[in-house]
Amino acid sequence: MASSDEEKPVEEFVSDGRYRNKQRCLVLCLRGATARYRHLLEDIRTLMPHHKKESKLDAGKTGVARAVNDIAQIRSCNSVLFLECRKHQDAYMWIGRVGENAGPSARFHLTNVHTMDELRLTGNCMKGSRPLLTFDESFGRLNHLKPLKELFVDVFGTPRGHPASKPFIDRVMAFCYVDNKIWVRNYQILEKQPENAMEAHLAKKESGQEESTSLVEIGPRFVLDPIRIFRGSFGGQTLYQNPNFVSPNDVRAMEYKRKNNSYMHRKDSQKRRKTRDEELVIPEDPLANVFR
Amino acid sequence: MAKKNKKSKQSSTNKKKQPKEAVVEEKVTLEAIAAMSDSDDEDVPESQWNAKAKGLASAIKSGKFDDLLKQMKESANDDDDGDEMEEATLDSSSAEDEEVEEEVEEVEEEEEVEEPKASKSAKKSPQKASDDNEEEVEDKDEEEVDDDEKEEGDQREEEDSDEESSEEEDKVGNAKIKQLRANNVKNSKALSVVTAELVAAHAKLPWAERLDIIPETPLPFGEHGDADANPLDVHDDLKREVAFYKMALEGVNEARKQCKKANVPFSRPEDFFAEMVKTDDHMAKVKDRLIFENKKMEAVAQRKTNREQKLRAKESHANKLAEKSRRKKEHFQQVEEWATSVAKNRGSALQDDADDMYLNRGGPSKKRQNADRKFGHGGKRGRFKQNDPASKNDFSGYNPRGNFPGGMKRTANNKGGADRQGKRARDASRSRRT
Repeated sequence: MASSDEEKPVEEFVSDGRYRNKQRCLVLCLRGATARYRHLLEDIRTLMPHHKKESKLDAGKTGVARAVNDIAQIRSCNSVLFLECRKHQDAYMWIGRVGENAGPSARFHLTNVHTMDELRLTGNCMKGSRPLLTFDESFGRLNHLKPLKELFVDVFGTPRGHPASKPFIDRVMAFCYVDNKIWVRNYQILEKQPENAMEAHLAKKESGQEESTSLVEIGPRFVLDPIRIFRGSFGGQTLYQNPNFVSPNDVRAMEYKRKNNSYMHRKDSQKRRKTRDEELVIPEDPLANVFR
Repeated sequence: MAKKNKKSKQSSTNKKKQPKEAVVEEKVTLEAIAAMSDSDDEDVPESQWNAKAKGLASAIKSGKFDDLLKQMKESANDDDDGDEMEEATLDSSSAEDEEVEEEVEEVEEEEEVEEPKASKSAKKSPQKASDDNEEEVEDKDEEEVDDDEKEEGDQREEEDSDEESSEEEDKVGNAKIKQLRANNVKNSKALSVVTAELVAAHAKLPWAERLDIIPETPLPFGEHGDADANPLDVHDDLKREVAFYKMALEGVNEARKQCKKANVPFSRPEDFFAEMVKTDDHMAKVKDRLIFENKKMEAVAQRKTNREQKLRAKESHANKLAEKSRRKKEHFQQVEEWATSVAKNRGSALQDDADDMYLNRGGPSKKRQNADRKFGHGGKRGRFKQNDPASKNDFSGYNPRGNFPGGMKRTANNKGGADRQGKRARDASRSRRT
């Protein structure tokens, strides 16, 4: 694989609006994903014209990592977005680079998913339009977010000139790092052209541009809680592990334990009170009968 | 795992040379790296490098790793061979990630096969180890002490609130978090190397291919909240979404300028029709829902105003009645006052019949009053003889013996009989009298 690359002379990357940056992203999920997550994946596919679809993965004995890497190689993808759903409730999203320049890859806990089908989200955009990717300021500041930003650019950014993409930009994806989690939002860019010269002048005076821009949310929206960043694809050296991450299993276990504890505490305190009452001896008051 | 051994060997040999060079130069050049690295692996001519290696080389040339050197000098903890650390991390990881560990091994096996990668990593490794060992150790110690203090503080706080039984678990959890933090610090160098690689790969692409934007304004959460006001609460949905919206909008405005510069068409012309992400059916549903919600809100508002109006009308009516009665009362009071004042002026003896008539003071004469009492006065005629449901079954006024003084009287010896004697007895007594 690598040898073929070495023989070619290096040529400068030309960006002329044609399809040069051949990013292909494998989008698939593990078998057993629930409806909500399947819908989310479907939404992601509609938004990413550079995706490659693959049926639900049943890894079997080979292991998930090997299987995904193999599929990616067969489909000649260089990035992958993989969703695994555990216990029909917890979803984990893998995002990574595969193939020749494999790695890094990152694993996230996926929460707060709202798909595009929800009727509250009123925005709409062209199918296959290239998104602007806005990152919160912390993506340039925090070390573990920097590689994630590059991964997001690879996975969610539509390559320029992709045959299925549209030449204009009408949506923006926002990645915000808040509360140690990455919140992902997808907005439509609505531009209101000024109706007359007066309006245009006023708008230009106010905001520096003639069009007044507003955003409308399209969906899907979800929150990614980073768990680990690996050096390879689906494995390798751990580059970063989120110390604040609490696995949903632990959360549930704690909850069960708390409930269990509450019963034990109640019983215990009942017993203690009883023994206390029994053992309690009221001292005799010598003056009790004085005024009788 | 042959690669690992090689690497560690290299780094151990390199350690002695590097510090001086790093101090003097403060810059990473390809030559320096070549000089630093072992002569074990034969130098591959530049034309045979793979794309990744080339990217790396160009990045090195452009000085991307220079600040890495500085950073490393500053950074507290370094690992000489990151791979051992990796194993440590994995051992400490939770049971949930067992699967991942398996995957790790798999991938490493794959890596061994790839020769060019090994040569590349050989180039990388010298940079990793370019730090003073002593410095490292000292800094490490300091940090650990700091961590300990922090954690103790945390534990103290938790002890106050938590149950005794959960204390041990907390300790275990804290220890785990501490270890993870330490591992992260150790792995930070590898992280920055990988990041630099990625960035270098992307730096080749012009901005128009990537379209990524980082607006300058930080999100108003946490430490970035307004200086005077308290920072925004993440769990306040509305404010959070507004913050995201603002960030995205700022990004869009910035991107528009860059697009103009890069000659990327931005806004869609009116006559450009394209398939949309959401179908017309879907959008119709969205619209229906919006309309429905609007209607619902209007209906609720209407109901609210109606209720309010009703209440207000009731109140105003009550006010009107109260006002009327008040005025009436006032009027009569005034008349009364006037009457008393007049009476005082004239004296009681000089009262006039006309006055009486006007003022109704004396009322009807005694005769009239008596007549009224006897025959009744006013009211509907004749109706008083009619029964009503209550009086229909009321026989309290009925006396079968007659309800008049001469009726049959009940006496002790004459039970039920009348006082009047029978006809024969009366005749006999009459004859006796004559």
